[in-house]
Amino acid sequence: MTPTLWFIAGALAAVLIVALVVILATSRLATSVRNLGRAVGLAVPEALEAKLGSRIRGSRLTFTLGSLVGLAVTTAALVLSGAPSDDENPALIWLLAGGVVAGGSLASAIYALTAKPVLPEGERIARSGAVTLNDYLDPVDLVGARLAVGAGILSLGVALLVVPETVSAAAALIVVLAAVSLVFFEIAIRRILDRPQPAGSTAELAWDDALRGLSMRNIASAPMSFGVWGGLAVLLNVWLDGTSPLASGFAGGAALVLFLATFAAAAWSIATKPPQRYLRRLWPDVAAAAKTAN
Amino acid sequence: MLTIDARSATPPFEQLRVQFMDQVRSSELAAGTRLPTVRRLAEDLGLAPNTVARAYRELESDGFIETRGRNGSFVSAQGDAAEQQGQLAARAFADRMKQLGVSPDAALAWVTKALAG
Repeated sequence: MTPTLWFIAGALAAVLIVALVVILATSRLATSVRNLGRAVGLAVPEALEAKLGSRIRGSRLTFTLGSLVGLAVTTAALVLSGAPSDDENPALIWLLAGGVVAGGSLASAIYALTAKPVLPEGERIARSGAVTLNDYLDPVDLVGARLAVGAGILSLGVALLVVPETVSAAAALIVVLAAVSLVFFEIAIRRILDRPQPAGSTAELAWDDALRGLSMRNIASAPMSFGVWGGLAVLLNVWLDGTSPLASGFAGGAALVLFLATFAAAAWSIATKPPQRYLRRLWPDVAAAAKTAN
Repeated sequence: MLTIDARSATPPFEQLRVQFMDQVRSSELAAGTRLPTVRRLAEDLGLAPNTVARAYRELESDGFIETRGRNGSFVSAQGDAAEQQGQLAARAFADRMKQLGVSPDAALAWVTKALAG
């Protein structure tokens, strides 16, 4: 690996280790739960504070450890492959960052699918209508993940047909990982949707909705990141190569369009508050009350 | 919401049946709404699947819900033909407004205006 890649890997590892220390700090747990409550638009009932704290900590710990493992595996793969020695290839940096995202995404799915729910004692409540993926995931996440991977595959396919010699192995690998992570995403979110939601109160059920929505968004981050990064990496390979002026110009334009589309989707995502999607769809009364209070 | 009290003298399937009936009658559960699967509802409420299945069977024989093969169970439209069609149209409208992210207040205001015009 080049010094630049080692520096990026070290910086990412340092950030993740600091995040681990913060998650493990007991004194920060209550604040962390309240902050998350604000982000998802829910109050934290005193009776649920300990239960939520434990679940949120478990989820964040798993996510951060998964990201660290992803970083370690990607770094090891880059070192063992011996191939990357080219600082100008942006795909290698994205591959490294992709390892972090994929590790976190995979760990989120494992936690959401395997964590044993704490069964409430006494009265049990449940929703009388069925829920769908649309209740938890904003179109920017659900459709965005599929579009991003589609853009990556299309870019790779066209580049391999027209100027195959310009496409680096790292860029192609990112697109392949995008496709694999999309399949994983589609399976994992449906499994999470099918998981039971044992709850003793509406507040407990609402929090479970909030946390499963967040898990699904974490899982969506892998296909979205790999799709966009893979597409950009392929297009930049073709653009920078410059042996075919027509292909190079077209790739440069397509890369700009992909970048702007990603920027627009990110801006839309910030404006529509996807973490509160579940609240607007499944708990409209709570959402309306919060809106009035604000 | 459905609530099951394990300490109640009323059997769980009857608690479930009565609550579903009340919600359909009060339109809290609109016509066309899909119900949770038997397995899922049983797991959520800590009941045996047979208990939920029995409640669904009785609701179906009383005309409150209908089963559409592998698509699952849905709330049936209640009342005469006009009422039934109206309820289904309202369900379709509500689903579309949700898709578009329109708030219930705004959607209701549009319907009121359209009905007045």
